[in-house]
Amino acid sequence: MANKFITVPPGMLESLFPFHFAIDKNGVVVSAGASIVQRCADLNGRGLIGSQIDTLFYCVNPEIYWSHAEIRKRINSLFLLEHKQHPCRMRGQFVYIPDDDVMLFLGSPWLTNTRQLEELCFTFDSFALHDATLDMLHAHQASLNAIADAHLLEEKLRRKNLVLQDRSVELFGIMNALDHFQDAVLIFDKHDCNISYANMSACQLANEIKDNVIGSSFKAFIGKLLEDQHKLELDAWIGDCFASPSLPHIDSDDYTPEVWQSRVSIKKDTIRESVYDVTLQTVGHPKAAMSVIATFRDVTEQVISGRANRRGERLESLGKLSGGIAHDLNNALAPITLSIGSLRRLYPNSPDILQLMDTSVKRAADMVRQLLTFAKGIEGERVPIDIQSLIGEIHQLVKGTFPKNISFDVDCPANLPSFLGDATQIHQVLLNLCVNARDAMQGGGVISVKVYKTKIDDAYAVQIRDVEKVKPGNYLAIQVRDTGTGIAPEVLDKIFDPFFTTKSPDKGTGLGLSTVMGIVKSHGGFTEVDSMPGKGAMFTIYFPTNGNEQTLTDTAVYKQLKFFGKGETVLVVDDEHTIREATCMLLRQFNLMPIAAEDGADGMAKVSEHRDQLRLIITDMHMPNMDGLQLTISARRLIPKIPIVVCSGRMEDHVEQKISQMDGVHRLNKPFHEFELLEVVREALAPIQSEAF
Amino acid sequence: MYGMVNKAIEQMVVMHHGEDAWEKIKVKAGTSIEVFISNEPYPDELTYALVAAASESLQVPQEKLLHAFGEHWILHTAMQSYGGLMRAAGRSVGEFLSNLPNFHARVSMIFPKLKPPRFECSDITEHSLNLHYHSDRPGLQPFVIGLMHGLGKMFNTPVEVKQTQFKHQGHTHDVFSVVWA
Repeated sequence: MANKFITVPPGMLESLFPFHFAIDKNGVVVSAGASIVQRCADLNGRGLIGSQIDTLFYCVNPEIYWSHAEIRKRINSLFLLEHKQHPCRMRGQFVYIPDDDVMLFLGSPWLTNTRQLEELCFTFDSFALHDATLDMLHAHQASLNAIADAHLLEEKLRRKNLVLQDRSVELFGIMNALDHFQDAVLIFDKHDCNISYANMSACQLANEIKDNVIGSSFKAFIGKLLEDQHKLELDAWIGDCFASPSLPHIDSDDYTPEVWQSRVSIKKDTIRESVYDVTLQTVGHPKAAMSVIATFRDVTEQVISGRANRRGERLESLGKLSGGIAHDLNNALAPITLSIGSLRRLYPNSPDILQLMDTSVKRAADMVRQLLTFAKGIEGERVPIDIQSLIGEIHQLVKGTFPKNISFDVDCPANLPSFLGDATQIHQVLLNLCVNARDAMQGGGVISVKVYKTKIDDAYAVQIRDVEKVKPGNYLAIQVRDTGTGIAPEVLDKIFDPFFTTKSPDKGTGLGLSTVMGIVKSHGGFTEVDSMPGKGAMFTIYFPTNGNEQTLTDTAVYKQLKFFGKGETVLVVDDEHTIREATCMLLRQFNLMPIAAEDGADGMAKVSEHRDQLRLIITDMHMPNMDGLQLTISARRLIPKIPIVVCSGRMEDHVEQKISQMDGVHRLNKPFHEFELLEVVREALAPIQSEAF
Repeated sequence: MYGMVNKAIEQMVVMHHGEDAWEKIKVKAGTSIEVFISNEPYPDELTYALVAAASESLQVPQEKLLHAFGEHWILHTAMQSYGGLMRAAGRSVGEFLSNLPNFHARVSMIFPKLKPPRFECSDITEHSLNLHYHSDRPGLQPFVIGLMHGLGKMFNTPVEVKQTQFKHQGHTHDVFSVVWA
């Protein structure tokens, strides 16, 4: 079918091309669409139609002078026209209509953004529906929106980045703080158990640098530290806890973390072992990246302290029991001890029997003293100890009494520092240790005693804190080593307990080492033991020498007693009849005039009755009705300066303190020997006797 | 649904309740998208989830929320993003609504991945028309009503909207009777 020519009526042309105009060959606008007419009148109000086109528009592209000929040459060009007076630009094409000899421009406003629509008073109705201008503006606006979105995203990312930077600073601070945290802290991932964080304590625990710990497996980490049993438990826990299909949400209030806790021993090196409380706890995350935080808290000190406390409690209860027994035993032994001297004088032909009695009573008294030492610690007179001389005495004793197959090796250099101590007690300590060494070497062996000065620093003091509260400083160490059977590890902790013995009942009371410990402790020292079964034992006792390095004197030497009374009246107060009688009998033999009273109240009555004749009061401490302290205070009110001797096997600290503050009040430990009683009586009466002369 | 819709929900929540509220709504809806790109398509389910989460979180019924969202869309989101075109679309409610079908037609032609609703106008008088709303997305009728009210506010003209035909009652589409002063 042949092409049919379609003539477009002017109204339709107007509708289809609201931005059209036609110019004749003289350049005069002869026809125009309503939209262009409305916007393109000149400033003088002249309309578009009838005006010269070159007075209204520049032809910006192509750059030509307005003429039919020029336009026809560029008929295939996209024309861009710019109004000379209005901000109105149009783009479009020219077509030549030969029948009318006109150039027809078909175009649209040239808009580059949607704001211009408003500025130029365009609405959608200004455009033909087929006009792509609005589509272009839509697309253009969409791209501007996309750019705005990109800027928004950039801004959000920048803000997030700032927050992350702040968080990273915070995190750095937290990590730095955690690095100074004593507990070892690690975080590992649930999937592969790889460690994502470890603080310095954790690295020290593993003895690794941080780079080696982070990224390594937690299982490998604990593999080096834990025993098999704990490793298996932990493996099972990790497996169970991550097998759970439901993962906790960080916002979920009912999330309960999984926790594993145990107390484990970890060897720090070949010698030291520490106790740790290990806790593993799951940490939830909204993205299900569940991790586990593991902490290792060193509780060695706490465990040791707890052990020491329990031991202390045990010893305290035993001490109280022993103290009571000792008091009764003292009372029983006192009259025997006191009577032996009298018996010797009465029966001078039976020295052996009396010597046997004396030895037995002394042995019994020693046992009581050991009990009391353990129970409270008898505070004897503290004098500078000449350790060389003391060990010499022990050496002599051992040589004379120990089997010949046991040799005694002494390494005790001269010029060692001395320390303040009770010579009798130190003697007892060394003898106890040597006797134990002897008993551990039934087939013979060597007892080596080595004395040396040593310094205990802070670190070492902490290490041995399980034994005592050890203060750092200078110490004199006395080491007693044997080559005997040694001590089994399982009993090492108990050997210092009273009544604990591995010996047969006839050979040991079980008080030897507890007495050693009690005495050493009362001297501010401490005791160490090292032993392996079959390889002998080594006991080392330490005495502090700080500030005690004094010049030795011969105060520890017993003096021969030479005393005879001048008939002084002496009040003897004791609720134990036998002690009271024995004491009075002895005093009479030494020319003193004893008056007996059976308790404090009776004593006070006698004080009142004989106040003019009375020169001395000898009183027991623990008595019914009125005790020795009460009697002392009351008697002093009646006879202010009367000397008083207080006798006791044990004395409470506050009582002892009071007595020590009173002039002319002397102390005598029970059970006492004849010469000890006479010595204290002589000392107490001395000022009076001096006054008499 | 294209990103501009989700962005509009975000804008409305942030404007009235702050950024923290929006972050919580996003978590509740299960998304961590930082910025919705206006002309990118997002799953319809995400938009519904955001509306549901906002309704729950802000304690506002979904219908009320969608209505408010429709108003916000016209007065803020569309005006911000397509202000020039919005203003050129008409000088009155009637003119704007008459151009609305072509407006959406152009958008769908420029962004073929997007599936904007289709509008038709009928029974056009000087102060009323029937707006035919064709959409496969259920439950957004309150949003359309909110849009109409938003337009009324934009042109400072009281608008009454009444749904006269319901798709969920078996009709091919929803029809709204829009009357303005």
